[in-house]
Formats: sequence, structure tokens, C-alpha cells
Amino acid sequence: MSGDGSYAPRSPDLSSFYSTGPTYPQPQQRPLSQQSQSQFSSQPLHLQPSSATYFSGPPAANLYQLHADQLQHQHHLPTSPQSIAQNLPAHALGAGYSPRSHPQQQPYYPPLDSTRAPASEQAQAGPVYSLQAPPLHQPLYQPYGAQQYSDSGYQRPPQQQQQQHLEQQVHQQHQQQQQFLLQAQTAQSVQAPPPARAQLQEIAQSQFYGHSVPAPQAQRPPKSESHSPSGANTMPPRRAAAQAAQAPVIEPSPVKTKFPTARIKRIMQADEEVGKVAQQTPIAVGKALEMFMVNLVTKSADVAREKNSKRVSAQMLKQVVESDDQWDFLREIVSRVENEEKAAKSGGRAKAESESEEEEVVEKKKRAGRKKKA
Amino acid sequence: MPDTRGNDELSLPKATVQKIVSEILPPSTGIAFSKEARDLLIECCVEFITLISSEANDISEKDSKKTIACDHITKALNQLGFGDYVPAVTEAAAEHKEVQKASIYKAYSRLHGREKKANKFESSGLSLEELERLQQEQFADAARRHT
Repeated sequence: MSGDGSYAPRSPDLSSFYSTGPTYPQPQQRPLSQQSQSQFSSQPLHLQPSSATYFSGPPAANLYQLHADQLQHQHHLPTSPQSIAQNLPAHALGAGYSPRSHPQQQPYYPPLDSTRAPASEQAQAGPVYSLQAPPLHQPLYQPYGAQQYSDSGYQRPPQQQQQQHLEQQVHQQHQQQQQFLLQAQTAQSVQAPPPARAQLQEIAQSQFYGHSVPAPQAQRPPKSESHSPSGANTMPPRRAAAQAAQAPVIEPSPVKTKFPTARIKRIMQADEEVGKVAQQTPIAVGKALEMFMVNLVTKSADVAREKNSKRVSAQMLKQVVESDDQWDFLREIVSRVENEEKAAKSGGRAKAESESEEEEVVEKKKRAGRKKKA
Repeated sequence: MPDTRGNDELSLPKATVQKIVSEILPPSTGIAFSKEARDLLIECCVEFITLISSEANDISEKDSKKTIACDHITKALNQLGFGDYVPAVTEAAAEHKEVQKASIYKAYSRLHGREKKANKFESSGLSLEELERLQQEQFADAARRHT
């Protein structure tokens, strides 16, 4: 048992399920479960082909047909080659796979579905069937070990279910693994309204609604209808709107380099009054500083252009600072430096520049040494 | 400039500032920043940080908070006439928060082995269809064994 993979240990549940079968409301279940048993015994024959998934569909579908009294969904099978191709796998998989397909039908998801590849169409087709013949699915998949989930699954509040579906949309790639965990939801989603209905192909839609009326969940479909439009209209647009609102306001900054946040924090806290600083704060200040620099640099570059200069001098920067009251807090600094520069001019500008260059090299060396020590 | 050297720790790294300046003014513009202008710019930057943080500090004190939060920074920016920086600043802070959350979650899940579980599907290297087939085969196997 244990040596045969994850499904083997659960198989014994088959017997326990059959014994508990009668507790389910549908009188048909028992015969069905027996049928499913026989189906399983014969399955090896069908599944021997390597590409068994799709070929195993017909036998399963035939089983459904045998119990056609309730199974209006049969009508779907012949509708179009496409739908056959899509639906058969869904049948072949039985309820075991329905969990995977159900999450995709949630109301929040539909917009994506419409743009989806055939795979998702497959998934869409699946729900149609599961909705119409919920009792059938239960016997089919429960023997495989979903039994223990099914009871709780039926009791789950719809909200929770929706939440989990949302999660699934986010982690779609993981759906396959979650499948078994989610079977409980399937049990519900079988009854619950798969919103994808709105997005189903027109054929499927008309058929579905035709069937939904006789189905035991006659009241549910309308609810889902009200859900799916709201879900389809509100959810994705909300994201889009948020992006649209943000995009125009924030231009992409040309600056890729970020200031060292530790340094910014130290400069902030150099002010004795400033106490604790939140972790995000230096980042916010760094961003503001970046924009401040972009402002100042581009404006002084404009001044340089006006003056047909290729070099932005401190003088030009000063001019920018003095041009706008926004920069008035810089005036003192600007004027001081300007005075120094005048003094430097008398000594010879070229010399001053080379001096500062040397200083810089020395500074760099010193800094490196300090870091090594630290 | 001996005075700036003393405050070196309270200034911004020149290389970083130079890099940012050349990012704002790429060589294609043909305009460069002189050293004096750059040094002046650094001083202006430091002054800007000081101004913002002292204004934010006042705001946080009025808020009876001991820690300066992003909120205080944006309010300070608004009050000082830099309201147009606010959206980008909030976005940057939120972005950083997200990144941090993600990295914390990553570390957490690594600790608890959740990441491994979450990547099972991806690491299997199989498509959904292949996995479906595998499962189907296993179903058939199990059914064969128990009948």
C-alpha cells in the first residue's frame, strides 16, 4: 500500500465510502457507486494506452449515458467537435479533476478565461457537467480518498470558498498539488455557481441554463449570474484603474542608483532633535532626495544650455536655487559657496580644481582604509 | 575643503552623487557637472535631508509619535512645497515594504519548508496535462489493486 504512491493509502476508503453512501440524500448514489466500481475494474483496459487521458474519456462518458435519466448533460457531448474534445477529458477525469477546473470558474477569474488557451476552455467545460450532475461526481471521486473532505466541504461558508478560490487564482501553478486539499471545495463548487458560466461559449451557456432549471440547484444559477458580472466588472478593472491612476502621476525616474539608506539615516539623525526613524523612512527620504536632485540638476542643465555652456558651474546652480522660492532653504548655502569660489578664483581656478581632485583621491583612500578596519 | 572632510560621515558619497548626476544628465546631453557644482549639490542635498527630517520630526511630535514614519515625511514634503514628490515617495516606500515582506516570507517559508512544498509543481517539470495523465494512471492502478 504505502509503496505504491500517494493514492494507494487512500484506496481502502472505497469500502468505507460505500458503507456511508446511503447517508447521502441522493437515492441514485448507491447504484452509481457500484457502477463506478465496475468502471474502475475495467479501467486498466482503457487506460493502457499511453495517451490514456483523452481516450479514457469515452468509457466514462458511456457510464454517464447509462444513467442518463438524470444526465441531461449528455446533450453537450455531441454539440460540436470542439466541445467534445474539451468535455471528454473532463469526464474522463471524473470528479477527481473537477477541483482543478472549478477554481478557474470563479467570478473573479472570467476575464482571464476569455483570453485563455484551450486548456482553460476545457476547464470551463468541466463545470457545466459537474453542475448538472453533482450526485454523479460524488461517487466517482470520493472513493479516491476525497471522502474525508467532502463532509466539511459541504458545510463550508461560501465566503471562505471564494477566498480560497482567489488564492488559487494567485497560485494557479500550484493548483495541481492543491487539488486534493481542495476537493472539499469542489464538493461545494459543484453546487455553487461557477461564474465562468458568463464566459462560457454561447453554446455551452444556452445549454447550461436550459439544464440548470431542472437541476436541484435551480436557485443557485441566478445568484451566480449576479455574482459573475460584478466579479468580472469590478475585480480586474479595479486593478487596471489603480495602475492607470498611478502611471501618469509617477514618471519613471532616470535614476537607477540609490542613496545608501544608512547614510541618509545618519544625516537625518545628526539633528539631535530627531529620534527614532522608521525603517521605511530613509527610503522615502532617499526617493524624495532623488527627485530633488533630478529637479535641481535638470534645471541647472537648462541654464547651462541657455548659456551655451557644456559644463554646469556652481554659479548656474546658484542661479537655479535663487530662481524659485521652493529652494529658499538653500540660499544660505549657495551664497556661502559662491563666496568661497570667488576667493578661489583669485587664487586661480585651475589650481583649486586640481587640488580638490587630489583631496578626493586621498579621501577615497582614507575611507577604504577605515572600512577595512571596521 | 577641510570643513566638509570633518563631516564626511554626514555628507553623501561623492561617487554616488556623481553617478546619479550622470544618470540624470547622460553623456548624450553633452552637459556635465563641474566639481564645484557637484559639491554644492551635495551640500544642498544634505540640507534638504535635514530640512525634511526636522520638519517630519516636528510633525511626528505633534502626532505624539516617537518614531518618524513615512507618513510624516510625506506630510513634511507637502508642507515644504514638495507635494509633487509625494506619490513617487509613497510608491517607493510601499515597494520597499513589499520587497521586504516577500523576502521575510521567503525566509520564513525556507525555515518551515513551505517553499519546497509550494515549488513541487514547478520542480516536477511536468505540464498540467502530463500530471493529469500520471494521476489518471495512478487512479487506474489503485482501482486495479482494490478490486
